[in-house]
Formats: sequence, structure tokens, C-alpha cells
Amino acid sequence: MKIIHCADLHLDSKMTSNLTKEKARERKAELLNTFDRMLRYAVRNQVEAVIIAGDLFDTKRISASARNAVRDGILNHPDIQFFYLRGNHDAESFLCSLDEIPDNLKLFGETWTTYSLADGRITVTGAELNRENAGSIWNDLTLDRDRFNLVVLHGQASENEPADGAEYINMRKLMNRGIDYLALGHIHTYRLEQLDGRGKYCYPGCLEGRGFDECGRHGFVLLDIDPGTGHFRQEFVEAACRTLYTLPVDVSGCKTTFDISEKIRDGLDRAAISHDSLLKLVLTGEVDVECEKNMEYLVKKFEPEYYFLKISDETSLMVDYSAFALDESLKGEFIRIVEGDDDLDPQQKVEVIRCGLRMLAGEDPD
Amino acid sequence: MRLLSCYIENFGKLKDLSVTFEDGCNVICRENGWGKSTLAAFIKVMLYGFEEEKARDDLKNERKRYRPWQGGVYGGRLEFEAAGERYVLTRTFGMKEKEDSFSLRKKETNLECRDFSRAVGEELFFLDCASFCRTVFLSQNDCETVSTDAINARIGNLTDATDDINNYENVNQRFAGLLNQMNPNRKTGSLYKCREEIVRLEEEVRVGRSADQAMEKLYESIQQKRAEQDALKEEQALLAEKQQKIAAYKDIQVKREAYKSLCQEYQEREEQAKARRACFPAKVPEKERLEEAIACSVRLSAAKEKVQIYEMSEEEIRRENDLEKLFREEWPDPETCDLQAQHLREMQELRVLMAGNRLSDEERERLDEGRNRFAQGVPELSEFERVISEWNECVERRNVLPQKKLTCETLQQISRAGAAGEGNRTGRGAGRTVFGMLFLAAGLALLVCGVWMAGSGKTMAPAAAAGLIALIAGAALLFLRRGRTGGREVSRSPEPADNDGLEQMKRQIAQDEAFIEQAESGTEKFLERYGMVWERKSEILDRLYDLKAAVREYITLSDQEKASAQGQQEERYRELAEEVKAFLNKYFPEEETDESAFGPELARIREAAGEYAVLKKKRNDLARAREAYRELAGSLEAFLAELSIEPEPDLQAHLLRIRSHLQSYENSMQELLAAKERKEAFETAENMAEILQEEPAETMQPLQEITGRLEEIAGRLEQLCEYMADDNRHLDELRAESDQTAETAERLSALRESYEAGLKKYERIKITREYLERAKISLTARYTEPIRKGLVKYYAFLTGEDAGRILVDANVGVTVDELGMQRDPRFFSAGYRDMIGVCLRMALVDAMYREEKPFVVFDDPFANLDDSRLAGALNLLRQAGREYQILYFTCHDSRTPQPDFT
Repeated sequence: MKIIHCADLHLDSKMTSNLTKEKARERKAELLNTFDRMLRYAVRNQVEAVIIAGDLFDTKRISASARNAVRDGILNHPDIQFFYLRGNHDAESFLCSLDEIPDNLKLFGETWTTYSLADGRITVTGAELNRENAGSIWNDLTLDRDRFNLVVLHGQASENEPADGAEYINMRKLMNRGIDYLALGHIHTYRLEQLDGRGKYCYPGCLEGRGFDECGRHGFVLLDIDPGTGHFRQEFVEAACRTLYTLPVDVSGCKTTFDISEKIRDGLDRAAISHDSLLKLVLTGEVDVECEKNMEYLVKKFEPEYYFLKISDETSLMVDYSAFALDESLKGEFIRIVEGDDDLDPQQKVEVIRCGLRMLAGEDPD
Repeated sequence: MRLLSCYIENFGKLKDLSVTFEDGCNVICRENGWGKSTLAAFIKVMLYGFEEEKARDDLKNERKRYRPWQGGVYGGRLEFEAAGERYVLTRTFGMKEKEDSFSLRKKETNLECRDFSRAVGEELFFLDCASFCRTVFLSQNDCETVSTDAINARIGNLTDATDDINNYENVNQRFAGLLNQMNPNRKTGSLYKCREEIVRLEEEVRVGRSADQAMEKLYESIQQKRAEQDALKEEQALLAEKQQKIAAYKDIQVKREAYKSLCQEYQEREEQAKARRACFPAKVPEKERLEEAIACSVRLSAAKEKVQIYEMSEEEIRRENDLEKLFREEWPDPETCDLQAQHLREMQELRVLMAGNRLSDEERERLDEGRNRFAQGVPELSEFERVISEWNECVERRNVLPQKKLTCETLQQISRAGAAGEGNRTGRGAGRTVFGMLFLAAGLALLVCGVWMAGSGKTMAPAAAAGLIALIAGAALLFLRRGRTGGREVSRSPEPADNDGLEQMKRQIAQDEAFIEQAESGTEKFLERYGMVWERKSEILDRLYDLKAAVREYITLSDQEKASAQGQQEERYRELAEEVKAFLNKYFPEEETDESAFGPELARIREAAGEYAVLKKKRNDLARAREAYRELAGSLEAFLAELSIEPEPDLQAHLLRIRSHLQSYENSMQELLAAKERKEAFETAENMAEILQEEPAETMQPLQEITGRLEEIAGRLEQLCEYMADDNRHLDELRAESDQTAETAERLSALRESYEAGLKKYERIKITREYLERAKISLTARYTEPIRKGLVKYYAFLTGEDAGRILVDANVGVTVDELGMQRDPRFFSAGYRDMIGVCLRMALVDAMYREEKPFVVFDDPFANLDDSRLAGALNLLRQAGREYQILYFTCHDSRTPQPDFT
């Protein structure tokens, strides 16, 4: 039996933190398309169940298009069982908007709920965690070890007793409980690890990366379970239509925008990133305080090559105070005075010096 | 660096002016309006170009101000020496800068060189124009000076660094501009505006949050409704299940009732069958046999009836005995009787015939008379018909003939009149009219007569034809008359048709006369032949009919006479009488029978024979009927005995009743069987255990109550659906509102970040500006002392006094310590300000140019000095002239150094 395990779809995510309104709208649509693509994959591969381990939606306020896309996705695939465990981002709004809960949509509550598949040889058990039940729910979990037990939860896997239980899953409490596959959600990157001698736990990550904190491959996990033997095979299936990358570029020693541009070009050539990707260039290294950096120019130069590009300047400024020690000029005098002022911390000093020098050079301050 | 000479082609009012400059102080003392300031300006323009070129004010716009008054080439030449090299600078000026020309040649080679560009002044003096005018170039009434970046840079030997002290003022202004633009406390400041926008958005978000709260409430409301919906659905399902059970039980109940009914029916049928079986004590008769018995009983009844019918009365018995006696010899069968009766009828006929053929005397007399009349032969009756017909037609024609003749005569007259011509037309016309009218009247009369005659059985044709002709003639006459009197000649001569008619009429008249004559003659001869006489012709027809009657009578009488003459009838009559008599004597021997009694006797015998035959037959029939009855009765009695049923008197009725009982019994048995089959079929088809079980308690609740509740639930569910749909619609609206708020919140967040960053930037700029100002002060403070020393030196040259109370700050600002307070020189007199200004300028020039000294232009700077200070001023010139080439312009001898001075 084939089962899809996905989580953290965050449909209807605003996407506006990096993108323009138009692109954010486009990405929102792409999120829905990816969900739809996953369902089509399920149909093509005779998948019988889809487990959504939380955060199907990003916000309480679900748009009509997202609501309809999910509802129609469920209703149009009556042969697929949808096990939807709500996460911290999900709210009642989706279920409220449904006139009737479809027969193939299985929900979970605050206590353990178990559904059977493959004539009872596979069980899907899940509970929605909150502050009230997070501490006490673990002992209530009873599983038949003769069956293939799939447990669904949404939260941060933790080895220790969490301080704030709501979003933490006490992994110790789940060990040796007969779990074969712990389908988790909450972490947005794919992670598969051994739970105990019998089972594994897995975060499939989100379907689509939304921000540069979700770089890399994204998709879902396809489980192929043999209900007879209880053996299973899991496979990560890449589903995202775009990938986000963060590419650090060391621009140490660069004096001008041109120097930096050359370094960036070099870095991009080596990374060979697809042009439909979202890319964040991070300029690192130490540059001279008088280094001429035109970030706007750099963005304009490289932006057309990718679906989205942003450049983050994380370079540190370097001031060679000794070079100005004997400089009989206003600049020298200025740097010496700033350097000698103990009211400023080193970072402030650098910032003030850069500001002054840029002004003297006829440029606007950063 | 020094000026060697200059040549002005045209510049302002100056034209074609050559001036040679020497080392030391070059005094150019000329009267007012000569062009001293213009010459000084020429030197400045040759080095720096024009200032204020875009100013509209001609006085400020130097290109316009110094445009040659008398026309000609605008410009000139300047020879100078710098770093030991002599150069010839030639410049001409057009209306615009691009029309200017620039040429720099080395004096020695007269070759163009690029040692200096068009900005030759800045390159020579390391000063911009403004700084040049603040230091080296003392224009008239502008002795005061301040330090500029270029001055500072020159003093600090920083003229090569483009982004240093020489740019300080610019940077400072940009700082001020930026801070002003960003100022968080001024309404025009971007940070202030940003904060305002933040406040506005905060308010917008705060208001927008109400949508979130409303959404939360709505979610709760929907959840409550959904919970209610779920509960109702659960109840609905339970009730539906219960309803199903009740319905199912109702079905069972119905089945149970049906089963009970079947059982009851079976029982009833069984009892009925038993009851009906009781009608047959021994056994149930076979239907066929019963039917036979019934048929037998029917026959028995018939036999009984027959017996009753054939039963003979005493009278009949007595009569039978009598008749037996009468016919003891022979019983005459009906044929014999009929034969005798026929004989009698024949006798009667013969008797009538014999009596009818005998002629009376009168008949014989008439027969004889007829023989005489028709001695020549009896005419045939057909001949009579022909003669009568001819006579009738003769009478008719004779009657009509006079009229025809009259008509003919009239027509002849008309014809003649027509032939006579036109004259006397009026009179003739009138005559014609009269005739026409007459003809019409006559024709009408004839026609009526003809019709009447036809009605009375007479031939009408001649009269009617004559009448018609008369009518036509009359009409023709009238027509002719009308034609003429109408003024138009219709016809001038008689019509040929008129002539034809006339001729025809004449022919008819002739024919009629011939026919009448022939018919009268023929008829008269016919009557005369048989002796018939008449007095008038009108009697002839009667005589014809009389003759016809006489013929008929004669023929009848002749036939009677012939029949009477034969004797065979009487013989036959006697034979017949004998035979009949013999027959009658056989039965009535003792009686002498007269012929007249033959009929009644024969009738008696015949009647008696018939009666005897009937009685005999009745006797026989009775015997047979009795036998048959006995047989049938015995058979039926045996049948009933077999059934152990006592026969009733009316056996047929009894048997029919038995048949009815049997039928009822059979029906009962069939019904019983059918009831049994139905019961068994039901038992086979249905779950009898379920049907026979006790009613479960849960089905006790009335179905109506459940249905009512289900309807109530369905209604409420529908209502909840509608409410939820409404809530969802409202939710969508709120969601849109909330999205808007979220966007606003995002904008707010971004704006806050931007504001924070801006504020930091603002603070950083502010701090940077402060640090930069401190740096500038610190830097300039280093050469304040040399400047102050220079000031003291030149002040001493000028006043012979110590300049101790004149203070110079780091910004080369000058204050005068007066009455214990540093005072701005602006508070002092113009002459004093000029003195300080000149001294400060020279001090700055000293500080700036420590190696190669430049020339210095003094455009009458001492005009404001009083006489007591003038000597000092000239002393200053003298002293300065030792170090610098000085171009001193003045208009007054008093301000001119003595000859020994130069």
C-alpha cells in the first residue's frame, strides 16, 4: 500500500517578505499547484492515502481559492483517504467552510484517534497537540504491535522534556511503543531518523520553500508498505516547482562594486543555479571602510538572471586606523577623532567612519 | 607666479588696451570710470572665466556685463610667469561659453601647451574662484573675507585631495540637507512622515483587527452550529434507524395480521366445509351421478306431467267406449275422412255449377237480341277503343278549329298590313296593339282551355298548341308595336317567321278539318253497322259505350248457354253421392241419410274418428308415461338410498338442493384448499419466527412522533446549513478585510523597520556630521596660528599697532576683543572691517603660498580708510610689494604711494 506523507504545506502563505506583490501572488498559486501536482502523483502511483501532518494552511484566514483547491482535491479523489492532522498554523476555518466533512477526509482530535487501512493491518493514529494534552497524551497511546503502526504528530521533536509542551514531541515517550513510522510535521526540511529499534521518524519538510530559511529540495515522502510483512520503504519525492538557494560570496579585499560583481559572477558560475530559482546572495568577508559598494547596481545586474534575487550585505568593514595616523587631512583627522572616542563601540565607529567617508566622497550614506 | 602683461581686445568699456606689469607694487591710478575694476575683472575672467553666467541680471551676469560696449572681439591676452615658465594666455568670449576660445602658448616657443587647462586660475592658485576672490583678489568694497574649503585645503596643503577639507562645506551642506530631509521632528522630514504613516497604519490595523475578532466569533459560531449539526445528524441517524425498525416491525405486524387473516380464513373454510359435508350423511355424491339423477328427476317430472296430462277423465273414458262401439268395424282414418269430405266439396261445386249455367228468360231474350245485332260478327273490344279515341280527338279538334281559324285570319291581316308600307303607321300600330292584346287573351284562353281539357281527360294538345301560337302571335304584335313607337325602326317589313307560323297554322287547320270529317264518317258507319242510332253528334260517344256493353253481355250469355248444354256434371255428382252414402252407412246403418245430411254426418264421423284417435292415443301415451315415471322414480329412489337420503316428495327440487349442497361443499373444499395453499405459501415465504415474535419495546414509540422529530431535525439542519452558508459568506468578507489588515500590518511592520533603520541612519548621520565638524575644526586649528601671526604682521604694517585684541578661530573667523568681549567685526566701522579684511586676506595668502608667491589684486581697498590710516595702508602695500607682485587700482592720488614707493 502506498501512502504519501506530507506536511507544512502552508497554503495561502503571504510570501510577501521577499517578493513583490505580483510574485507573491504567483508563488501562492504555485503552492496550490504543487499540492495539486502531489495529488496527481498520488493518482498516477496508486497511492491510497495521504497523510497531512499539520500546517496545511499558513493562516487562519484561508482564501477561497486555497479552500476550494483543498476541498476539491479531496472531493475529486474519493479513492484516496486524506488523514489531516491540524498543526499550529491551521485553524478551524477550513473545516468551518465545508458544508459537510467529506467521507474520505479523516480528522484527528486532542486525544488519540486511530483509523485502519488495508483491512486493519495498517493503523493511522494521531493526536493534535496543545498545551493541555502535550504533557499527558503520551501514556494514552496504545498500539497493536502486530500491525503496521503509523503515528501522526505535529511538533518539534525533542529528546528532553520540553518546557513548553505545545509544540514539542517527547521522542523518548514514543520509543518502544510499537511505532513503525512516525509521520511528523513542523520542521520545514526533510529529515529521516531512527526512532527506536523498530521505527523511524520523518519530517517530510514543506512542499515548497517559501523563504530563504527554507532553501534546498522540498517535497513529500512516499511510503510503500507491505501490510503483510510490515516492511516498508520510504522515498523522498521532490515536488517543489522552484528551489531557494542562499549563496555566500566572499568579497574580502574588494575595493569597488566592479570587484564585488566579479566575485559574484565567479560564485554563480561555480554554483550553476537554475534560472527559475529564488536566490539570495550573501556578501561576506571584510572590506575596506572606503570600499565602494553599490548594492542597487549589483541587484540590478544579477536580478534578471533568476526568478528572484536578493543580495544581503553581511560584509564587515575594515578600517586601517594606522594608515590615517599621520594623515594631515580632514579625513585623517576625522578618523582619528572617531577612533579615539570611547563612547562609540567598534561597530559604531566603523559605521560613522563609513558614513563620513561616503559623504566626503560625494556619496549618500548607507 | 606673476603677471607680465595683458592686452584687452575688447572687454566692457576697455578696448585695445595693453598693460605691462612689473614685480612689486603696480599702481594703476586712474580717474573714476576709466575701467580699473573692469581691468581687474578682465584678469580674473582670463583666469577663471565668467561668474554668474546664468543670472538674468546683466550686472550679475559677467558675460553680459563685460560684453564689449563698442563691439568687436570679446577677450584679450594675458602673459604670466609660473614656475619659471612664461605663458601667453589668449581667450575670446562669445555669447555662450561654447563659443569661447582658449589658447595657451609658451612665451618662449610660442607653441600651444597643455600645462594649464581652461581652469587655469584654479590650477595656478589651487583655489576656486570664490576662494580666489576671498584671498588674492581684493575687489572694490569687498575687503572682508572668510575661509573656504579651498582656502583651508590650500592652507592645509590638501588641494590635491578632492574629497577632503576642500569638500567640507559641501559635505556639511549635504549633511544638513539629509538631516533636514530626514528630520523626525519636522513635518517635512521623511522620518516624521514615516512616523505619521506608522501611526496611521497602526490605527488602521487596530480598526482592522476587529475583523479578526469578528472572524473568531464567527468561527466559534460556525463550530457551535457544526456541533449542533453533528448532534442533530447523530440523532437523525438514530431516529432513522428507529424509524426503520418500526417500519420493519410495522411490516411484520402487517404480515402477522395477514397471517392471522389467512389462518382465520382457513379455519372458517374448514368449518364451512364440515358444515356442508353434513348434508351428505353417507357419502358425498359424485357430481356426474348427481347430474344424472337431476336429469332423471327432470325427466321424472316430465313423466309425471305426462301422466297427469294423459290421465283420462270419466267422460273421456265413456266417450272412448262409445267411440269404440261406433268404430268397432273400422275406424276411419283421417285420409278416408278427408277423401269423403273432398267428395262432398266436389258435390257442392257440381251443384253450384249446374245451377249457374242455366239461363233465365230475360237472359235468353237478351242473348237472342245480341245474336241479331251481332249477326255480322261480334266486334273486338280493341276496335271499340280505337273508335272511341278517334271520336274524342275529333271532338277536340272540332272545338278548337274556330279559334285557330280566327287566329289564322288575324295573322293574315297583320301580314297584309306589314306589306302595305309605312303609311298610317300610328293607326296600324294601335290596331296591332289591339290585335296583340287580343291574341294574347285568346292564346291564354286556349291554353287554359287546353289545360282544363287535359284535366278532364280530353286531349289537350290542339287547344294548348293553338293557345300557345296565339300567345306568341300576340307577343309578336306587341313587340312590333313597341319597336316602332320607341322611335327606332326595329323592323320595316313583316318577319319571315310570321309567315311560316301562318302557313303552318293554315296547314293544321286543313289537317284538322280532314281528320274531323274522316273520324265522323268512320264512327257513324261503325254505329250504323250495329244498329245504333243517335240524334245529335254529342250522343255518339254514349252510343259507342252502349255498344261496347252490349258486346260484353252477349259474350257472357253465349258462354253460359254453352256450359248448360253439357250433362257430365250430374253423373259425377251421383257417383260421388253414392260413395259418400256408402261410407256413412257403414257407421250409421240404421239411419237413412239424405244428401243434405251428408255434410253433417260426415262431419260427425270425422269428428268422432278424430276424437277416437285422440283418445286412443291418449290412452297409449298414458300407459307409456306411467311406465316411464315408475322407472325414473325407482332409479332416483335407489340413488338417494345410496346416499342415505330420504327422498322428498319433490324429487327434482330435492336433487337440485342436493346439487346446490354439493356445489357449496365443493366450493368450500376449493376455498379451503386455496386458503390452505395461501397459508402454506405465506409460511414458506415469510420468516415465521419473526412474525410470531413478541413486539420489541423500542418499537412502542409512535412512528408519527419520530417522523415529527425527524422533520424537525431536517428543518433545523437546513436552517443550520443556511446559517453556516451565511456565516461563510460573512467570513469571506471578513477574510478579505482581514487580508487587507494583514497587508497593512505587514506594511506597518516594514515601515517600522524602515523607520528604525532611518532613525539609526539619522542618528549616524548626525553623529558623523558632528565628528566631521570636530575633525575640520581640529584640522584648521593647526594653521590658525600662522594666520593670526600674519594678521598681526599686516595689522602692524597698516596701523603700527599690535593686533593682540584681534582673535582668529579655527574656522578663520575673526573676532575683536573689545571691552572684555569678543565681538564680530560687523559691529565695527567699514574702514575697520576693511583693515581687518585686508590683513586677514594677506595673512591667508601668506599661509597658503609659502613658496611661489602669487600676484595680489587690490582694487582700491582703502577707500573707506580715514587719512590717518591711509599712510599705514600704503605702508602695507609697500611691505607686501616686497614679497608679492601687487596690482593696485585706485582713483585718488591720496591713496597712491609716493614715486619712491615703486
